[in-house]
Amino acid sequence: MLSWILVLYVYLTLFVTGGIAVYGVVAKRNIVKKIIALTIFNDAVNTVAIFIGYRLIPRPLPPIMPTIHPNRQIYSAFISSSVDPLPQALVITAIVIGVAVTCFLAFLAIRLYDRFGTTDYQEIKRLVRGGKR
Amino acid sequence: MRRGISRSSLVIVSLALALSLILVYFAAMGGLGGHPSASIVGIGQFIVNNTYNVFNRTYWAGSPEAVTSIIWDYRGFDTIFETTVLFAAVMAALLLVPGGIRGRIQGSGKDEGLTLIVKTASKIISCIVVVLALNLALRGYISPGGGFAGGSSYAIAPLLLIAGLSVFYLVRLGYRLSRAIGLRTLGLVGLVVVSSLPLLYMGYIIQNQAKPGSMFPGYPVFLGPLYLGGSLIYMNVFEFLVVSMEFIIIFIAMFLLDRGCGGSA
Repeated sequence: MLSWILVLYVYLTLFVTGGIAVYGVVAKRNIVKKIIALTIFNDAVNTVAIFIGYRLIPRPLPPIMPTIHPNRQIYSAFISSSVDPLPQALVITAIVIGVAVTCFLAFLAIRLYDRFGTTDYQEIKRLVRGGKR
Repeated sequence: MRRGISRSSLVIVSLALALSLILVYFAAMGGLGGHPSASIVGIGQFIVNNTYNVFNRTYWAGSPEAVTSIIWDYRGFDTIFETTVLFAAVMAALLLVPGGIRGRIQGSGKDEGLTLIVKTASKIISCIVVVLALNLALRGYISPGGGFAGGSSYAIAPLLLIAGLSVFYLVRLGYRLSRAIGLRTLGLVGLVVVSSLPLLYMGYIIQNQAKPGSMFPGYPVFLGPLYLGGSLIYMNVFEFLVVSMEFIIIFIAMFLLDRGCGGSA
């Protein structure tokens, strides 16, 4: 019972963090703040993916064999209590891709600031409508 | 005006909150596959069973680290295409640089940077970061880490030096855009060579160990007393080179963009 309350609490924390990040992406007017909210959303989704691979047993192990010369006992203990390695493998590449995409977005934000002198997107919209560049 | 903004943000807040509560409800009702449970999904269990199965080596990867063996062996194509995505993002960023990739950074940077304390501290910390990143990359096949993690932590060191001192210090250390691009190309070529070498032996592409239906004997796992871990160590080293150099390219190009001084070759 207690473990299910904890699981529910973790889900609640992660999804509310994601919800706050979505609010930031939609409602903030500054493009830099939008990018920060996007990275928070990225991290929340990655943490959900890792949490799905968790194994609800008393002593779960990381998916690494503790020795390079295992005997039968170590091997069977490893396969019966290791957590799922697949989400972790997907997340480690997703993190790097997320950083690359964030770098590209930061590039675009710098270009916008160079051109318009502001990163507020409503201000940029007003400047473009007014024909002032 | 002020009131309208607060009302619309109230609507967005309540929508985001409702969305997250609905997601929590479905997740708790088993919408994500009834996880977490005492057992893991079949493909994850297959990989855990086989990654370092010294008793039955039919499908083994030769690495005690299941995550690295997924990244470079069981799902190697995913990683190759993710490297392609990273390559495309860096190329798109480079296209925006005024003056192209041959842009030269002029100036001495004598008066730039923060106080002496910050400069010294960032030099010391960047040395530690470099050692840690090399450790992550070279030991990634037996412990947590790997090419991606090592490369992205290596990139912290030049970022710290740019923030604490200046980009000129980085250039004096020998980090140049053209050199970084050359090293990245070396890493990409290494990845291609390591992953296509089994084709010469009538094996599969990105093959690591011997598999049924292929004549490739597999990359060496043990070299005398040394543990090598098949092709994973070469893949990790080359991927480390690719990822770290791509981040350095991005940082230097971002500086060039910030100054708007592309210059000519």
